[in-house]
Amino acid sequence: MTRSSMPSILQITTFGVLLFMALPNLLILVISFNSAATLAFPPTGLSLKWYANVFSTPSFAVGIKQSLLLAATSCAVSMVLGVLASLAIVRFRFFGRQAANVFVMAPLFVPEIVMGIAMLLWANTVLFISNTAVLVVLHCLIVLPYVVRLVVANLQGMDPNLESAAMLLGARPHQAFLHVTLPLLGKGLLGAAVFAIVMSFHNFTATMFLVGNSPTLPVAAYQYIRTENDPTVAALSTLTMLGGILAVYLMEKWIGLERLVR
Amino acid sequence: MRQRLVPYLLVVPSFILIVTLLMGLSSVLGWSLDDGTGSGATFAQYESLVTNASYRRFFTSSLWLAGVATAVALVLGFPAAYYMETKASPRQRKLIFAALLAMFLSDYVLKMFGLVLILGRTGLVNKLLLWLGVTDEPFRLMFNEFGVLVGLISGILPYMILSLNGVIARLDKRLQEAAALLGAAPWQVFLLITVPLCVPGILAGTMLSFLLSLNSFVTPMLLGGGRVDMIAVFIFDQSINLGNLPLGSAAAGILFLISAAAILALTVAGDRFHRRFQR
Amino acid sequence: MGTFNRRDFMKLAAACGAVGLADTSSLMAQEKLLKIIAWGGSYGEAMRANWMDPFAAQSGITSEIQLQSSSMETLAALRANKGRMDDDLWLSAISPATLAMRDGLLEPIPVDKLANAAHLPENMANENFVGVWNLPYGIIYNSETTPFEIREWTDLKDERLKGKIGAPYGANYNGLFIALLAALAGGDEKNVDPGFDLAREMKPNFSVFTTSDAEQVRLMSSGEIDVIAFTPVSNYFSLRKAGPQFRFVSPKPFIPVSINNIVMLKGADVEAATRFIDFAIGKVAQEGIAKQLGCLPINTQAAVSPELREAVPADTQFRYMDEPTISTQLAAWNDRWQQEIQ
Repeated sequence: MTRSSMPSILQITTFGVLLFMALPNLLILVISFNSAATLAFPPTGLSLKWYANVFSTPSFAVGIKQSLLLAATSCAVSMVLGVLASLAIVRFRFFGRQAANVFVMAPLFVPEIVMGIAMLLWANTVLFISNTAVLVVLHCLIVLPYVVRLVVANLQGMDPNLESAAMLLGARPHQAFLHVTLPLLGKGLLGAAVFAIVMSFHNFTATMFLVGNSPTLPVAAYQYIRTENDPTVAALSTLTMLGGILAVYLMEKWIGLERLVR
Repeated sequence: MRQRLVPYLLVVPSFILIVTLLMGLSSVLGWSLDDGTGSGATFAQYESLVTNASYRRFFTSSLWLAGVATAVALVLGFPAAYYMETKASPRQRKLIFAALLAMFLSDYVLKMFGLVLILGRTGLVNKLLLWLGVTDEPFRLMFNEFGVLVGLISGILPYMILSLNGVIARLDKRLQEAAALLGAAPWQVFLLITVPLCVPGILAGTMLSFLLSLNSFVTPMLLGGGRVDMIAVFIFDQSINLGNLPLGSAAAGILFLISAAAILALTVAGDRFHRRFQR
Repeated sequence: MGTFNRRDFMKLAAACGAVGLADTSSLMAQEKLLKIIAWGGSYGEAMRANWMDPFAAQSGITSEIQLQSSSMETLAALRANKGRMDDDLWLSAISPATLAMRDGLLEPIPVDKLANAAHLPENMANENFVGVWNLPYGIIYNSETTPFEIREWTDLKDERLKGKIGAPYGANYNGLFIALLAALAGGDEKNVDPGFDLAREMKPNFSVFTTSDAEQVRLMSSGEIDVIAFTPVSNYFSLRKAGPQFRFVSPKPFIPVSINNIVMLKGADVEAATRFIDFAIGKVAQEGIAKQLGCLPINTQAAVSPELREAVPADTQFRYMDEPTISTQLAAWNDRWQQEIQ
């Protein structure tokens, strides 16, 4: 193997891998414009009617509302819980700190399908709360470990002396938190929030057990594939993908992608 | 005294949330031991899962498929992550990065469906092969283990690459250069210097990919054609479609143990390696 | 955008709260709306055209469909969400409806208020369920790619069909296929061993096991398989839109027929739901939906459409399977099918 051929082999592999990952999505994008009412490739003509159909399909309307509501609520709740727990873990030395850290990460160790069935059984024992509330609990559980991990990493990278300085200057602890820590953490928090929303919005396996009669968007898409044969679902997927790409673009513009993941 | 209570107060809300999960898990345990009378407990479900070969196959086949998929994803993902971090121009790098994120933000169900259009008897690959004259009879590329493997790999590759590129970016280039100066061949540098330095990322990516594959439900449903046994499908079938909650719960319990064992094994392996490497 | 300050955080929190509020307020302003759990695809279209739209025009009561992919899955959701679902009616096969009745998930239907019940055959309308259509099952094949004309169920064993057939997954279609094979091979609902022996002879021909109607239609129209071993005639009418090469066979010696029912769920708007059921089993609505779906109307006064007569000739022998007996063995059959056939 000569030195000069190394990059080209690498380049081909990389290109191949990217193509392999993206090709299914590209095909879905193409057939979403198919004029015929079949989910087949290649398309037979050009049409935009499936895009109009997305908005007139009741299960998708419910799905979009349900998914957004779930993502927003579980993001908000788990952000509050996660930031508080992270503060305890990073800023305090207390008995059981390590145990607390592991405990908060516990959902990561539970396979999603097990979590789905566990929360289904849990829902059966607590009858007084609504179906949506059970889903919120499930999504908070799924998201919390990631939020804690990202926030802890950000807090650790922050100079604690700034808080101390604020308190020395007369700020009370909660004031120091609100006026010094939170603004400094800002971008890290935003990253964690975006991550939480994405994780919640795209969750399928665990959610599937609990949807009842108001499916989230991924579950609605799966049910649609099982019951219908037209490209509406491809149009829906293309729209969510475009939404995702827009989100990526905005994040890159505002915070930089690198910081989000590292 | 009040000061010492603060950290406990801060973690209490999260604890309450996690406790709901523990309650759910204990219900799973309870159901899996249910003997139908409502009072006694029995290990009959676990016993039948272990002794009945057709039930056991759901576990062994899932483990095998998840293992192979993870290994292939590692082999394919490493060069991609390596190229992205070391050889790509900043612009290329950004584009690859955005593409990977877009993969995360697209719908997994539809991605698997896209693969159906590629791997089917009249799909893209077979059309290409027929047109090239490689074969006159279309190949069976899905509704078998191969199709499910392709689906699993395609699904976990973004996770694998994003777990690897962090460690690759932090590689100390001087080590590789030094080894090369000392006369090591490129492949020796790669195997003896680069790969060991990347072990933390490899372990993280492997763990994530393996667990995701092991849990996969949509992929065997859409690409397995009912001929590939995977444990998530079994659990869903038993507990939802057939209303056999005790058996479904017992299978969920075993899956939980397998995942925990896998996480533990990889973590221990990581620690061991770390210690040996530092010495 | 510099740092993320407190005001932004408040805005975000307020936005989240607003989303939550919007959700509850829309719930409170709800109008009279019947929620019907039903299959989508051709079923959904036919229900909208022949039941829901004309019923809304006549009574002012609007209705919408909540999609289900199988009535067993709905049963699971109903069990898990006891008292938390707000649906009124459910289109279901007999087995899941029977199980739901035992679990106390159903609201008794006031049969005496159904004026059209008089035109239904005996036992087709009771307080637990009211039959809405008869679904005949048969074989569909692609006449361009299948080497011979399929006439009998046992043709499915033919070696020339190797790897070309799609068969039901597990005990799909409520175990009817397994019961049919058993009956063909000299067994019955209580003795299915001969049926499994017969299925083993067909096994080399099965290339995929399907979980839904839509999947069968998709696999046929994309050329993935050439024969569907067991399918409701309604799928034939969806497939015929894709091309004239698809043929439906009512194979000899007989075909199974399954009755789909409408049931009322606990907490339903009984008055409106009863009016809907009565409308659905009326002569006009029955003729319309039977024609569009390609099923047999349940109302004895309704005529059978010529399209269905073409697919299911008048001399076809029908057989009603013992679905309540099947429902008690579904789980065991499913296991065995996955183990021995799939």
